[in-house]
Amino acid sequence: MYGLVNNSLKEFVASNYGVETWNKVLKKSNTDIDFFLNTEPYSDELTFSLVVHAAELSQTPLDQFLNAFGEFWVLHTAEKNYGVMLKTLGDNVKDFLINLVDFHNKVILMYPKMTPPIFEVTNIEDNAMVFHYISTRSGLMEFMVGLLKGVGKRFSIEMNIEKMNSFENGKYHELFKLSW
Amino acid sequence: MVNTRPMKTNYLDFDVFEQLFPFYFSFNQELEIVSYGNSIGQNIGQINGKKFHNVFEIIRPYSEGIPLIELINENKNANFLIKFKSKENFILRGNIYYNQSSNTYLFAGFPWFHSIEEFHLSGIDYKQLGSLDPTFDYLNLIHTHKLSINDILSVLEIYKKQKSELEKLSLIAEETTNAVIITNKENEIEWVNKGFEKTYGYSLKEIVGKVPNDFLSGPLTTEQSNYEVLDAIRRKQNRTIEVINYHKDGSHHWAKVQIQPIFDEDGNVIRYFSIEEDISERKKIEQELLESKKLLDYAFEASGDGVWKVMTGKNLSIEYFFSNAYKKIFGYDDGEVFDETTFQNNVDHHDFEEGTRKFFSLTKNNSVFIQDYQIRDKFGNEKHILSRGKAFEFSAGGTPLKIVGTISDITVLRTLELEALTTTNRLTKLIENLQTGILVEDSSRKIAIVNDEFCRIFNIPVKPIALIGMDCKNASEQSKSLFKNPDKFIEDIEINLKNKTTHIGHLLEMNDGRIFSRDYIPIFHEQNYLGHLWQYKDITEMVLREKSLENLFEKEKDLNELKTRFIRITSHELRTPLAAIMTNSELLQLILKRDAQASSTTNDYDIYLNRIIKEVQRMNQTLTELTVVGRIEEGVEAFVFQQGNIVAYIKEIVTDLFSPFSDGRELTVHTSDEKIDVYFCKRMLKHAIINILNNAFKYSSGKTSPILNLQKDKDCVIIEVQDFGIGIPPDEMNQVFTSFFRCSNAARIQGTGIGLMLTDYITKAHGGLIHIDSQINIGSTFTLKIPFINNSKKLLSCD
Repeated sequence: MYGLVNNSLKEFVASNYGVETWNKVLKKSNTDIDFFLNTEPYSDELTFSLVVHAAELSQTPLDQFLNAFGEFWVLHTAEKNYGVMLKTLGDNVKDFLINLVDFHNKVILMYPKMTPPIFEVTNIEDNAMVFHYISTRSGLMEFMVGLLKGVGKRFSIEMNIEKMNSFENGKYHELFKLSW
Repeated sequence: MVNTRPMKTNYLDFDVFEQLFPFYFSFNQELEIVSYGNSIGQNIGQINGKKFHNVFEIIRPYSEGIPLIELINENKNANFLIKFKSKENFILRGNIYYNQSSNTYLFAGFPWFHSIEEFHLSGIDYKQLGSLDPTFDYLNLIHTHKLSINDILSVLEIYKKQKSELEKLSLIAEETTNAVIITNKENEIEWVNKGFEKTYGYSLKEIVGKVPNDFLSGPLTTEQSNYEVLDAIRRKQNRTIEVINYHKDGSHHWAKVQIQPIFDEDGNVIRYFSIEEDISERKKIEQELLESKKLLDYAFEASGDGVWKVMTGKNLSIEYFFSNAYKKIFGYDDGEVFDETTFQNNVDHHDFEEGTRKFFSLTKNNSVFIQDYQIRDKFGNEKHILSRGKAFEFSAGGTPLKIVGTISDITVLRTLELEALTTTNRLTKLIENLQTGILVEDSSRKIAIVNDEFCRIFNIPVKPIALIGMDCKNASEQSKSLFKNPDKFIEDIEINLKNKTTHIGHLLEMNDGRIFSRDYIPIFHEQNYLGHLWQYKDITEMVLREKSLENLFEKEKDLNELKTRFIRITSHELRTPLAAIMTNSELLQLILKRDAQASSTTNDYDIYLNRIIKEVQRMNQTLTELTVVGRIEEGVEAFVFQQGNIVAYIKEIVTDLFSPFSDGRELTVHTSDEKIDVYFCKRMLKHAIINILNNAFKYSSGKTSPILNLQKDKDCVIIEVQDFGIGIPPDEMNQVFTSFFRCSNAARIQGTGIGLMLTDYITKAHGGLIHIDSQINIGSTFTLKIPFINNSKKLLSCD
């Protein structure tokens, strides 16, 4: 994952639990990297290890931690680093999500070596849609839920996220019914 | 005007074209806009029929003065940059093609932005971009690059900051003469300053990469200080540590080392900076102070006295300190909690209140605290302690801020005081009830104690207690008339008071005939004269009794002398007629024997003459013994002591007189030594030996022969004579050495009653002893012990 994720996690942990906790997280993850470049890729294992230890040290269940981190990502990290870009994606949840998915899927094309999740939106209505999350990685579903919640908060609306079916066919395909 | 569709193509559906290029527009030869894409319409509004130059401005290629059509023809394959005149920052980038069939020009391209911010400001919607429009992608890329550049700038910033910090530190480090070490985060030396090199004698080259503790520690470096250093490193903390560091040459000094981690922006340690100060001098003074304090503490602890301290602490709270020795007096161990509450609980309520009152009334002018406390220690033992202290520091208002003191266990002292008081009371009682008159005066002759008997003796008609405190100088003067010699009475008192030495048994005669013995005993305490005691004993009766006894003694003495003289005279006076009787009897016997031989007749008178001669001999013997006794008593009989073999001497006597005895029995003699040298009087001891041997035969007539044992002891010869005769009745045993005493069971046996008395005399004159063991009808054993050398006074007088 990009250093931005790790830096975001660091910011999340440091702002909620103090720099000392983050230093402990680094120590527990057995890494001597103490400065992440936002635009450089780092190993997934390291990011997972950082997340797991951060959850552990903050005494928060992993799911709940990922959830909160997802929200933080949208509201702080993405806003801080891609704020203007996000603004161009729409001024309402519906447009935003549609454009975001479009943009995201375009970005994927720019980095052929990356294995990012694929997003899809179907059954689009004025106040609802079905959001598809297709990933080769397991365990980040709660992060996705956090992201979606964050999007809701970005537009100051209550986003209802209803987990629908899930498929497993080499990839994890999760369906969320979103309504607001 | 209607936006007409100028062309149709077999290759590309116009809808697809417009989806691809929503920012397209076309114009005719008159440069009138004939059609345009949706995204232009949404952003600029209706432009159909408008002249090109009213809506657009060509930025590239340069078009100054060149008509548009010409420009297009000249730059057929070139990219055009076209700006919307009505909207700032809205630039299109693409190519212009000529369509022969419709005789129009077609622009196909995309909007052009330098940044996502510009895109945002343009107001164009993401959805308005063409489906193949790479604008957003390249803007995204540009943005990502920007983020990368920001990363690099951040790193640069951190680096610059650290560099400047280090430069500052190294500037200080270079300048200072104190030793400075910079280590990496593993605490390995990266750099040391000249101060370090000079102090420790190591060059940077020698020690770079080493951990400072590894080569600065030495035998005197404490584990604790090493631990502190490592702990500071481990905890990434600032810390000041006092440690003994060793130099390269083996010498060492006390250093105060300040360790400081250097952090990066995220709080990660990247280096450690430590600077030290030589504190050897201060340590030396501290050590000396500590030693003095230890000595003081030791002195206190050794004295067994406890130390206490009361201080006004923070926020005016009162802080108490009790030393271990203090706690010990209360029965508490070092580790046990002892505070002011414990103190209060263990101290007598009244003493505590009194002490507290005194304590809080201490001032600058009244700064000394003294209080006795009765306490009960942890084990319930009652004790007395004396607490003494002094207030030292005072507030502006004069209230003590620090009071320091000691406590001593004075239980023994108090107990002794109590005992002394009890003893004094008892003694006073005893004196009051004594049957002798007692008068105790203090040093100024005031009466301290006087008893009933004293009052009775001198007819004083009041109770003794009424006399306490009275001056005795006047009393002596007033009472002197009671004595036979009043002036002497006063004079003696004055001599005693002057000499102040004990004077016992001073006799005083009273006019009424009573006689007193008076004792004077001065009373001293640690050489200080406190007073004196007079004791008066009425000895009138005793004196009278003594006088009559003296008379009796004189009378007895006279009688004894008379008796001795009588014995001497009698024995002497009787000897002469006895000698005449003896001589005449023997003469008569001879004459009768001769006549009988001549007449050949039997001598019928011989038997009677023999009896006469035998009795005369016995009488003579008695007289001899009496004479000896008389001479001894008169002191005229002299002993002549000479050294000689007593065994040979006794054997000779035995041979002459007892081998055999007159009844035919032989004396059995046992001796372990043939020669025992003893100083003895040959003439006198013979009387004793013969007497004992004679008695042994005489009182065992018809029984087994007596036995004589002679044996040498450590410093004397033991002469033991054992017979198997009638024995001596036990109750008469101690009278056998009395003159003229005869045992009750010996009445029929002839004896003088003087022999044993004489034997006793002679034995004692030799410094010896005589001892008798006897049982009735079994026999008696007489044992004489004669020392080799006579050490008695008599021997000296004899010599």
